[in-house]
Amino acid sequence: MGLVVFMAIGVYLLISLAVVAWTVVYAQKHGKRAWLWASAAAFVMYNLVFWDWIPTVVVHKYYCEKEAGFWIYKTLDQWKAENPGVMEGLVSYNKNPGGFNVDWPFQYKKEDDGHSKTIINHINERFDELFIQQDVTELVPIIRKENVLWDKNKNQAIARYVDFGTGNSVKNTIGPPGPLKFWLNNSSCMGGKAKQINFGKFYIQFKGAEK
Amino acid sequence: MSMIQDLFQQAQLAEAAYADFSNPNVSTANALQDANNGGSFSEAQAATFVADWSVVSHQPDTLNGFSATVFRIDKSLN
Repeated sequence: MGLVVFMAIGVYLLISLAVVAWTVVYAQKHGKRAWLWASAAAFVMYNLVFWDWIPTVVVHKYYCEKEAGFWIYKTLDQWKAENPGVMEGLVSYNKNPGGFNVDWPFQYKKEDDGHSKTIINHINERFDELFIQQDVTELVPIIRKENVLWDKNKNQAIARYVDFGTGNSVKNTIGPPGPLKFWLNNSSCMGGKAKQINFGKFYIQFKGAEK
Repeated sequence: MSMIQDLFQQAQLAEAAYADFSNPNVSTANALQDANNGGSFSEAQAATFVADWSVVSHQPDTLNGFSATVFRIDKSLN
């Protein structure tokens, strides 16, 4: 697949060079400024493919600075103090104890005409982990990703991690190997991976006893 | 198992191998459906996959682009 992509890029580059060269010849023949016409042709050929690159990076940066982060609203000790004896009675629903990854039973829901998707992971009788993915706009491929540790009895968030990824959309996921515009791929904001790991380490404390 | 079922299993395993399972606290279902992290499974695909398979080990992308995942089947598919 990679070879096909590189060949396609090579062919497009050759076509672009041919278009620019033809434009220069045309401009010279008709007494126009060749460098101006060549620049315009190169600009058009570039933007036919890469028009959304700069807007995606700019909008991604904006959302990362404005909304991304990891917040703990209640620590385990605070929650235990408010709910004495409850944690000791919780049993983890993990289907794969001792495995490489946790495997919670889950449900999902789709909203906003397919632009928003929520996976509801059932951690135990009391807690869910929500994984919400949402397209922030239809113009550029940016997904808002949110993980929430949710107290089902009190209907409140215990912790939240928000991140943004680019290069794909919730509604039009293409793969494998992912979207064709691979240069737009960015799975998270700067420092987002570390925050995701911290969120994982935090929420797993609430899983309860393994069966 | 028929050839079509066999090919289906191989195809879904190949597709699942693109997901990022490097964080042990991210559930398999989340990883399979994380659109910006190589997860391209639909909800129904993920549910079916998780019911039958689990991750045994995962090597995330190395500097030269290699990655690998070992899956274990949790029940007979015959």
